Amino acid sequence: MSDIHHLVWNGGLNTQIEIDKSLVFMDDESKPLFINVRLPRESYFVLYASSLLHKIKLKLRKDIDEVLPYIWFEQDGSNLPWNIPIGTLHDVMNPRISELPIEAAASSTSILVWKIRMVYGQELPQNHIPLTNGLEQVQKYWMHQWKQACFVLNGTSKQIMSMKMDDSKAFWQSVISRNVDIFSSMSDKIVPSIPRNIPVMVHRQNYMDFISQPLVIPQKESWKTTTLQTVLDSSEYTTTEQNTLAVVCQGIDVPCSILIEELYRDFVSLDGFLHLILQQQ
Amino acid sequence: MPDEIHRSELLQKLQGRDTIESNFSELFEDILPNEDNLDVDKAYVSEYRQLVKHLRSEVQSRDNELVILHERLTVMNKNMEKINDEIIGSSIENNVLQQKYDTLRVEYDKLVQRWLKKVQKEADKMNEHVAQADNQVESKHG
Amino acid sequence: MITKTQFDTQLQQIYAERTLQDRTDVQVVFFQDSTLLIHLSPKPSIREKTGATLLLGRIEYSEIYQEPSLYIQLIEHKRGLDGLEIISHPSINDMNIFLPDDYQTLFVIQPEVLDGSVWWCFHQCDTSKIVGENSSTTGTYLKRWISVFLFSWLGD
Repeated sequence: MSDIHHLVWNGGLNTQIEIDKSLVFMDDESKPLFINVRLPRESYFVLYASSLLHKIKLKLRKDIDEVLPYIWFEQDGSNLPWNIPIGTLHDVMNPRISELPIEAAASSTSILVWKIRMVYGQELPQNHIPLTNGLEQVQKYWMHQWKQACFVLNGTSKQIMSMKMDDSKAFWQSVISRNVDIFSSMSDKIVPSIPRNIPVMVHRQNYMDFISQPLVIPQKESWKTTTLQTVLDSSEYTTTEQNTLAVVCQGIDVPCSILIEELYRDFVSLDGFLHLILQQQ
Repeated sequence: MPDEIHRSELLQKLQGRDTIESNFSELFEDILPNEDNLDVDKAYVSEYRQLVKHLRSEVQSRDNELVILHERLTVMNKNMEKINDEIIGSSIENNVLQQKYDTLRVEYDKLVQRWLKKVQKEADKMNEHVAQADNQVESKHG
Repeated sequence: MITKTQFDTQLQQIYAERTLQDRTDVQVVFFQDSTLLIHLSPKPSIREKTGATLLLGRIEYSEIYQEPSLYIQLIEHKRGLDGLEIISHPSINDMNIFLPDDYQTLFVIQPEVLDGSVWWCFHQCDTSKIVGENSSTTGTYLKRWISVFLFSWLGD
């Protein structure tokens, strides 16, 4: 369990969530209702929706269960799809740390807050996968992501399909309870020492509407020598913009000379994919 | 072989990230997923729950009523608009028809006048002939 | 399993042959790049269970699985109170009703976001069992795949 992976797993974000006015009784209608929470980068928004609503339970106009399927999160009016890791969503929609003025960012009196909204509505955003079966559906989706990742890594879904029921449950539970040791021991059963290919998902800055499908890296040489640069070169994302793109992963700039396999092992997300964000320099 | 240079660079960057992203984190509550019972005093709570239940169902029925009324209003407004449009349309049609009628009426009057004149002329002519014929008959027998 | 090139060739062929367009349950067919989009009249049982008046089928190539992939979207046209047409996307809890009973365990139907809206992806666990696979039939693989996946299960 590398120290890098620990830092990745334990990353968190100061988040201020403004609650949709239509959800709550307000004493003073002009003031918004905020909840300030620390959200882990490596989790899904939807896992916290019910807890957030419980924090404001006595102010809610409706029952939590009625409300949950019609909740989503937004930043600046753009939907933050629940099926993408929280940290990735933050990195897509916000400038990376190296873009912040150095003095401001590093000072002991500066604070980084992610301001988002919890929105309630009967008409869900187009790119929001409807949640009709609550957490069970989220677990199924997460498992589906791992199946794809497994297929990419191994050429077959066998490793995950043949996981024992107990192990499978423990795997999901480790995501909920944020237990990195159990998570790693489970993912180690799926990620091989010599991967066939690397599961990568590429996102574009500020472009939440068209999230790319998993990138399939054509393998020209061994993973022991394939760098991130090679991967970008061979993909559709870098044409003329190549020299002006920065790659962000887990909130930091990643050098393009790094080996893609190394990057995967350290920076892989809870869904088995390496999420990369392309930002303008 | 893990790339040592890269790893120490990444480690540093991640630590830098955490310093910035964790500043003032004490102002932000911790949150666990799936929390569903944060209540402490259970007895008090059950009363609260009842009250809240009542209030919520009241609010719900009011909200429902509002939605229905609003929809009705929208439909009525649309109908009004349609009717107004029809009235305007009919008005315009009416104006056009009125103009047409006026024009036709003038024409008709003119035609009637001409016809009357014509008939009068013919009548005069006939009277002339009859008068002439009478004179001829008189002079013969005279 | 077929390669991307085989997929592209067969897809183009199928579009050019016009057998799809001639079917009575197919309303429109669009073909662009490596995607085939079909507007289909849904089976009566699907219509009843979901209220859908139109079924969109989207066939793409899955690089990961090296197989064709089927995505479905349900559309419901109806008239609102004011006479205007409303288009909604019905969705149901158990999308498995689309499949014949003996196939339900062979599939995973998962929602995914494509081009900014939600589509249901039919993930085959063992396509070759369903479509059949041997070297003499690879040339018609896609055609058989479409006829089983799309038309016998979903079309009218």
